[in-house]
Amino acid sequence: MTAPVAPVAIVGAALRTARGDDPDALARMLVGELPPPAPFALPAPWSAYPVRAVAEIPGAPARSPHERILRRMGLHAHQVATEALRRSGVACGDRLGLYTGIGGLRAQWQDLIPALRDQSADFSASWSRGLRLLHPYWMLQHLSNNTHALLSKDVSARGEGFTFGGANAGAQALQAAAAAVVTGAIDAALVVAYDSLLEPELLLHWRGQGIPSEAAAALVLVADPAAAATAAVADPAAAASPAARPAAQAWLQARTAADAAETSDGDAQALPTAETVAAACAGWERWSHLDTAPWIAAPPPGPARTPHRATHDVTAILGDCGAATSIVQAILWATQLSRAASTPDASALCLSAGLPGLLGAVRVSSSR
Amino acid sequence: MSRRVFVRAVGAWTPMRPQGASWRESLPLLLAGETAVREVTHFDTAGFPSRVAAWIGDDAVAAACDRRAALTTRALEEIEAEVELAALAGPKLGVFLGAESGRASPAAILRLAHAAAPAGTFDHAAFVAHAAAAAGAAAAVAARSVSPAAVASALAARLGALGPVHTVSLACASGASAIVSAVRQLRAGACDAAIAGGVGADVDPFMLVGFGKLGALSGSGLSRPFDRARDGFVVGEGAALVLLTTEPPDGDEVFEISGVGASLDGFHLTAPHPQGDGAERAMRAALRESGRSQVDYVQAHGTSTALNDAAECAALARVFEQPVQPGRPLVSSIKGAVGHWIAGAGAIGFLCAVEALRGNVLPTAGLTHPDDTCPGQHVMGAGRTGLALQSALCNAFAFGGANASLLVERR
Repeated sequence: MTAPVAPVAIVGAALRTARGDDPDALARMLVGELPPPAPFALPAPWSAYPVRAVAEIPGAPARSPHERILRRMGLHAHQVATEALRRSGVACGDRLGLYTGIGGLRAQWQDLIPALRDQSADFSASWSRGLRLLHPYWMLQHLSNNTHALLSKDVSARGEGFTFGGANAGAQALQAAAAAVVTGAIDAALVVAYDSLLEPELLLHWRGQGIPSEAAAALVLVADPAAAATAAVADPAAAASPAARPAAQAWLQARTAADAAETSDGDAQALPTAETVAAACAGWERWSHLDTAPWIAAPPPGPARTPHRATHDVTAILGDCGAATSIVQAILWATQLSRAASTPDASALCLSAGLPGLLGAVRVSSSR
Repeated sequence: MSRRVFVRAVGAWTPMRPQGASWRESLPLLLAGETAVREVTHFDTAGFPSRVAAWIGDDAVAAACDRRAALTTRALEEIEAEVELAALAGPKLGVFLGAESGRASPAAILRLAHAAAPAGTFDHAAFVAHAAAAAGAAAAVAARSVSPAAVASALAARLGALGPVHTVSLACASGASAIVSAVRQLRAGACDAAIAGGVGADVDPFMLVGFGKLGALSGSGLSRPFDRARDGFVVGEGAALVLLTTEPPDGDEVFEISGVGASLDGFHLTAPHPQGDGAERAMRAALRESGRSQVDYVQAHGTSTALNDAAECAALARVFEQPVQPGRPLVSSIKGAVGHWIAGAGAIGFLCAVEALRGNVLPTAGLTHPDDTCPGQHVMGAGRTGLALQSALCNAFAFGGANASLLVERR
């Protein structure tokens, strides 16, 4: 496969992870410039599950009027998206698109149990036995695009909008946003993904690959930062300030693939096959840094772009961030490549994978 | 110049027969103005805010681990009967599906909940300890069954699709937005062919109660978009898919998606913008891409709720305020017949738009007295056949103010 969609510029970012929210410190951790952090622990209640550790975002999200609708990760997502947009200097309105990635709806047992406690096995008379107790907002609290909807209202993102689902939803959102920006459907895209794998029904099936984790991450994409500097800043006073104008931190392309092929025992393929990884990465064989977990099939090697080709693993420092992984990778590598001025033509190929057979591939480069 | 996108084949699995019906089987019933809405009998709805739905009583679908996947497979089979999809396998085939997260059966959820809450509150240790005893239930909540992306991923595996795979979980605009996403990637060259569409599988106790407590469902149990007596939507289920290619198909029926548009209201979590501002911008974007100012037919989102139908019709009136031809555009909504498929709604709507270009305009079942707030050239009673239409627009609007419009033309 060729790389038909041109790279787009990253002009703003923010994130929340189990190791904090400083992209610079996280990037240094990723490339080994900071000492390895202390291992994650296994606090209650997660010690009940068949996992060796969990990686939780420390602290609660800032208080918000949306607490009656959004859960903890939705609130984190709302906040990082708002921060990323503010840092970008990009204008809101009809030309700002909003792309969200979510891992999927979770059971939220605490909401269900009062409605299920007195149910009979055949679910007869389920209304009178408890379903009537479901909160009128229950549907809104479990709406896959609730964060997306509240964000669009709060930041006045009125261009096109999508919410993608699945363990690679961050990569899906990046791929769609990049295509929209490049084709001129919008001027700028606010892309945010969030996920927590610290959920009872997910941990019950944990297969021992990596530390279950969580993250919320957002970035802002434009096709041309120079054009955006004159066209996108709505506030004339801000437009006069070069500091407020979008500046490219790095350039990005994204791809996705999936193949939930069934194994011989009838179970769905846990990870994308080597063939799928190779197809998704075709044309991207030249890179200076590869960011991938050891359980993901590596793409076929290509000619070295630089004498130095290094492999890194964001999951080794942050755990498995699910649907947010691709955007976390993009932010950390944009930060790292922008900082490492000595390698102006550097690039990072970032892979992530999740059930069932989902692949996200992001290429971040220091130049277009 | 970006590449062009054509509709090569369509397929669906609808509730127009109690056991389910293909798109081809559904058409005569839809043209006759029939509705699939009926009383829900496969679970106890006593006390529910709404006790009807347009549901499919297919035992094989009911027994499937993932109802979404079973419905989607049926829709795909209709396309497979027409096109040799194996010839398209490889890195240039993509999959784009509107789908929400799956749900285990109520029985499975109940077993796990009881296992986890022996004292009435969730107990993690009890959940882990007793999940093995509810092994089938535990498997039913595993990622392969409930991930929103599970259906698209399984489709990709079945088709040998190694190109981009997207799952759009954008509530009622998911299916149409998935087609928008497919068109974008096809135009950009990320793939040469794509299976795109959506699936809705929300006829279950939790969804009926959830939507009902939100006040969105019809208390009268009737789906009648644009009618003065409309009082909410009726949940339906089904799947609809299209095969899109960048190469025009052979034959006389060449349909091109010449414009796509999407927008956000940025207005309210549940209510649409009262004047349909976002809807108007989505429609105008699709028209702008296609270079048109008018269309012959609009397959409206038309949910049968008071606010949505009025807002959509207000937007339609502004967008098409100067019709080139009297009596155009014709307007109808499939939701009167098949209910609201949520994530699949825009996809089945798009099939209706394509069908209009084949000369068959489906009516809005249940519509007898158009509301004054819903002006338009409504198609009521039976459908119209033998028409020579050149262009059709399909709308899909979601909770949260996400809007998508698709414009398809006969070439």
